[in-house]
Amino acid sequence: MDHSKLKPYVMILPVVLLMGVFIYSLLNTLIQSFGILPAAGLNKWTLSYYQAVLSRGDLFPSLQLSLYYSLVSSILAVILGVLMSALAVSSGFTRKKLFQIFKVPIIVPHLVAALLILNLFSQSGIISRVLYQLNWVQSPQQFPSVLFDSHALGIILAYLWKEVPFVILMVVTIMEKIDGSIGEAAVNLGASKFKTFYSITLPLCLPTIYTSFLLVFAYSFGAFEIPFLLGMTSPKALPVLAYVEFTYPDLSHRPYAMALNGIMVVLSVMLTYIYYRIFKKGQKAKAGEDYQ
Amino acid sequence: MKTINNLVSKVLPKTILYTALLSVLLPLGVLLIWSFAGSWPWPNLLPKTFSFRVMGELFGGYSGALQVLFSSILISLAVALVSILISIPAARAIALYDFWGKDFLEFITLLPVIVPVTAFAMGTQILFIRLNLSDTVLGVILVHIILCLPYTMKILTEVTKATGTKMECQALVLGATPFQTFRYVTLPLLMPGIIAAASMAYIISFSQYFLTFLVGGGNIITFSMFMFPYIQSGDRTISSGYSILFIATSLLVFILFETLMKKYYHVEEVYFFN
Amino acid sequence: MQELFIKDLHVRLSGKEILKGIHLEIRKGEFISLLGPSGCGKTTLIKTIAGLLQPDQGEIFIRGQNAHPLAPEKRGTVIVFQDLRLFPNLNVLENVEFGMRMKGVPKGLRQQKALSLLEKVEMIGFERRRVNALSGGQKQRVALARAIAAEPSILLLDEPFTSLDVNTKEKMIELVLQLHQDLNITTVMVTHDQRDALLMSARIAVMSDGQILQYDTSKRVYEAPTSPYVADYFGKTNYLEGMVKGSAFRSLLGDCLVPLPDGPYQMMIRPNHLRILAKPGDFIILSVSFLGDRMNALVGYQDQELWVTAGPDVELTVGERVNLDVDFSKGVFYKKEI
Repeated sequence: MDHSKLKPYVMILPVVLLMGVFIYSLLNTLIQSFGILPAAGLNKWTLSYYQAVLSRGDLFPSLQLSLYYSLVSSILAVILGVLMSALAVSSGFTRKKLFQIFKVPIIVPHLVAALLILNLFSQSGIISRVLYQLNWVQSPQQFPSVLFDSHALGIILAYLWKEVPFVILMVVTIMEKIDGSIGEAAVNLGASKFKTFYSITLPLCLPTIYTSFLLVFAYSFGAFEIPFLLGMTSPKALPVLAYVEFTYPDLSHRPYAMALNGIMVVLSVMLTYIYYRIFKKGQKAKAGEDYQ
Repeated sequence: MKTINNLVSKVLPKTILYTALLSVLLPLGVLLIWSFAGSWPWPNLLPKTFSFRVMGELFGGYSGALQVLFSSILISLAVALVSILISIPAARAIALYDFWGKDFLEFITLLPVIVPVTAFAMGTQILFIRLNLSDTVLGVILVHIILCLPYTMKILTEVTKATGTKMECQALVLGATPFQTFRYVTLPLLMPGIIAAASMAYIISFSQYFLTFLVGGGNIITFSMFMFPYIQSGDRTISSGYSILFIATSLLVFILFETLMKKYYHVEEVYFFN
Repeated sequence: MQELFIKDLHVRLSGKEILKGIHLEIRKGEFISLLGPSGCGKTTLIKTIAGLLQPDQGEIFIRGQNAHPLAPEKRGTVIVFQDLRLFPNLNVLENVEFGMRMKGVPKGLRQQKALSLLEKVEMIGFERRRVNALSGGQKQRVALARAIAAEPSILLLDEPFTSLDVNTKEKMIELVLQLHQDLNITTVMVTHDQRDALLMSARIAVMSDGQILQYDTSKRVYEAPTSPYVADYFGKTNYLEGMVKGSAFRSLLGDCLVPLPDGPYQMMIRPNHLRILAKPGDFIILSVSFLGDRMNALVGYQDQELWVTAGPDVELTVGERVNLDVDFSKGVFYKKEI
């Protein structure tokens, strides 16, 4: 047996095993969503749980809410993040030690991000107190309740606080590289700094920018903590809805939660697949590289 | 004319950037103040009284906060270590070899980030119950690793691709065995990527709430889980205190990573994640 | 015993055949060059010798032993790559010591050897420097010291002078020749520069498209190239058309006796074997270039153009009519295909 042929398979084995666990869990979720849950005595394939879930009054508002805040926060995050990166790269700010502060939100968990927004924007929060000092409000109740309303401002702000730095982190490295080499050449050839940036640097960064959008969107769509802490009682965001159904004391109720999960999984996997087809097509690296 | 130009090209960007920095630091500053606040009624801009109640609760023995913190740090360190250990060879395989299923593997490894944690967590429960991993530290570590893999794999694959095999070939012809090559040449070259990946894995594990909650079953409590009820309850001082402790220890762990690696491997300035 | 013996070597890369039947032998202590344009396979050849690439067919013998079962680290064939590849995490001294350290040479001894080599390459004082802080020429010296410190049985240099400026290059050539003289290491140099090859090598293997066209001493490769391609590689040269009949070659420029079968031939004659005679003649000077130590003139007659070299003090003007003297004894004859 040719040992060198086996080598890559051995190297990927542990990762493959763990990803196998992951896939298995996902499949479990999906199977349970079709009504197979031996532990509760459910043994028949059925679409009834999906039917029930899809016909619930609260599904579409939940779906709408989740899509709304994840799209809004992700699009804004990417726009702001790219803007900040552009400003930082072109003004040389990236070389300053202060720039590292942008990395701090990465180590702050989403739980705490929710707390930060509460501290600032709740009716008894810091901003409302500042407005009091400016004589714009007389009591906490006068400060608009921006957090828990249907505009999901609290959720969006919390995600923004976490995601803009994430986007900056992803984009700034490649932007600097491109700006450094190609940007310099373009400016040398007479293009203005702005034009160079807009028509050369930015397009080359697009793959990274799209990737960062995909990551923040998918994450915010399916994440639990922030909508749980900062969302309204109703409609609940999809992950929260799934959680509520999951913790229902009756085990035979479980498939409802799984059906909700199933819907979320299908949506997010579709998204990744689309991304992959669009952006990975042109990047088939020449594999099987000989020794260099 | 020149001053307007100057304004746009120099002052405006700086203003925007510094405002952004402020919007990162200010909320954290408020958090810090809340941790030491005794009584801070509306509409005071600063607390009326300061107190060390929170500090007492954190560091005093009875809340158990320190034990939980300590064991969480250990768990997350373990997660980071194992994630790196299994990602290095897998990333190398993807970056440098061709094999059946390679594209598929790359796609699959991305999934834990894309798929909602709820779907993963809920589906894992039954499997782990069967494997006797439910409510165990090992189970928690395993699922955390799964969550970290997309990041560690991506970072390490990129770094491996970038360094290529050139230096390794040179080491081989100079007489180094493949093992020696890995230890003295490849590993140092990968080190910046390893630090970035390890930091990422650590923080993902340390911050994780939902998954730990479901898989650990209330038996295994990480610091994030410990904090959650306090944040939910609305007790600003305690939850701020825990949050500050969380952030401070994470920063310390990162600084530790970096200084260790720098000393040992002569790596140039590596701020975490870069 | 030959230090290196290669028999019918075929190497394929990404499905494409790069080396198409290489035969080569090198004696111990010899300095040879692999000369050819980029893409001819010379770098592939040295990588295969070192064991970094596996051949499809053919054999390599190092000191009489079949190299096939030997991993690269066991062959004693050290390459100095074109991009030098100094290890960035190690300082200069550690880089040079690398080979010895891997073999288990104790610290004191290897440091001593490394320092003496650094002295030979004139890099004493740089021991603790980080390699990124060195200039191109300095890096090259360190790379060379490192390779030699690994005690190679065969030293393989891949285009060692390509990225250097002219003055640094001259110093490096001197250094390499000096080291070779002192240490007598069997050396194979890959280059595309024919001057370097001629200057430094005992023998030159002229390569093209995966094959060795001629492998001979520098003198013979230059004066008796086996094909027009090889002849052309060493600079602008002249081809005189003519016919051989009855052991006599007749051409526009004259005749000579030559023991070859009848037929049409091209005679290759180098510009320095043609002489310009001052009296007015049939050849018209078409262009003149002054090169410092000599002159190059393009001379025409009927539809034939010839390059001629002359001393720097010869007076030549464009349009002048001169006579040419041809040293037929230096001509190399190639039979023309019908």
